[in-house]
Amino acid sequence: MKGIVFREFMEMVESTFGDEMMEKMVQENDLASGGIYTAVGTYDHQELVAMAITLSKETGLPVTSLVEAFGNYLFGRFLELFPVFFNHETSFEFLDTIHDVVHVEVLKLYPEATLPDFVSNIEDDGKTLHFEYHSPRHFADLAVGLMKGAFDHWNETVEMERQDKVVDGNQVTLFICKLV
Amino acid sequence: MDFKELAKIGAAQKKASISTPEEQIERLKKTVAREKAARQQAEKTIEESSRRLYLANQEADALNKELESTLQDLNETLGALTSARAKRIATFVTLVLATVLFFVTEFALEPILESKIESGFFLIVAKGLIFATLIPIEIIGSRIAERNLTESGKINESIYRDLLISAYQDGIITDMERNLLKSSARQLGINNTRANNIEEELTRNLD
Repeated sequence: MKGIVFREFMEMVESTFGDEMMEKMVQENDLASGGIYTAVGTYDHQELVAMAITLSKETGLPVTSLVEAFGNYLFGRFLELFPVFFNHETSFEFLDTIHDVVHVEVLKLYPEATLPDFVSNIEDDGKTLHFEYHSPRHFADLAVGLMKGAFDHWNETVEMERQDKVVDGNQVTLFICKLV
Repeated sequence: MDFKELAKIGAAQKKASISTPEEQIERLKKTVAREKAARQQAEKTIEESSRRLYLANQEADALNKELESTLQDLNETLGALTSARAKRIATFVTLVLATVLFFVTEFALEPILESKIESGFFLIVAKGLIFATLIPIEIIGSRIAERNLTESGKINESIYRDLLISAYQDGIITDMERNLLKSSARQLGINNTRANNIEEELTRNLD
């Protein structure tokens, strides 16, 4: 997983729960990286999972909620850092470009990056979005947070229906989003 | 849960935790150490990347040079080919002309002269005059051949135009492309003014 995700996670935990919490997450897990992350590096995503579990234990919040909230935070950060990708009319249009535009740009810079696959499809005259998340890392909750961030950014009310299944060890999550 | 909610929970929990200044300093030391290590890691990554970029650049440069010399060879071959073609046409024209003139003088003019002029001296003078008229005909013949050479000039110009079009394909002429165009024009026997005219004409059309 790209280092920027780790950096942003650490930053979020530190600013939200304080440096004590961040220190705990690092010290209580035997992290191969030692908790040393750079935005340009690539690290084992299990480290993020381990830190999220520690954070869950310490705060009493479920891991899924934490990951989702982090996704939500990440959307705001991406918007700040890479505004060029967000000049769309609707959130559906934006989400529809992630796989073919944003990830292509990421791969240009980091050919070795393994990114989640998104298969998206806008239907019903732009009112429905089918968004499928494929990744062996099981971070669909992160995607939920990011998507909700997008809906908020474009001031939209969207009903989300989620269907989880596992195909060949890969988590496949289908989101059916309907504009209200 | 969205981030706003998490931030609220975080703020409440943060208040509840109190640590001593010593503990805080200890934590900050660790944080600084990690940040330092991260910086060094990032610097190493940058160094590796710039080294990779430098090597890739070198390789691209070498390939460019190779390409340049291949194109130059190709140009020379093309130039030789077109001038060979023009020479062949010129030789053919001269040969045909010489054959026709030989038949005209040998079988038409000479019998007429021999039957009309009896004096040997005047016969030689007349034959000399015929020979003298052959010279302008030869000149005309070579003019025609020259025109054929101009035809080959047209072929060369169209080759040069094709080269210009491919050079302009990406919208800019690089230094390498400019050098190549200059040497191509030289090889193809197109002078500077003519080359500039062709380029101006082409860029006008491109706009």
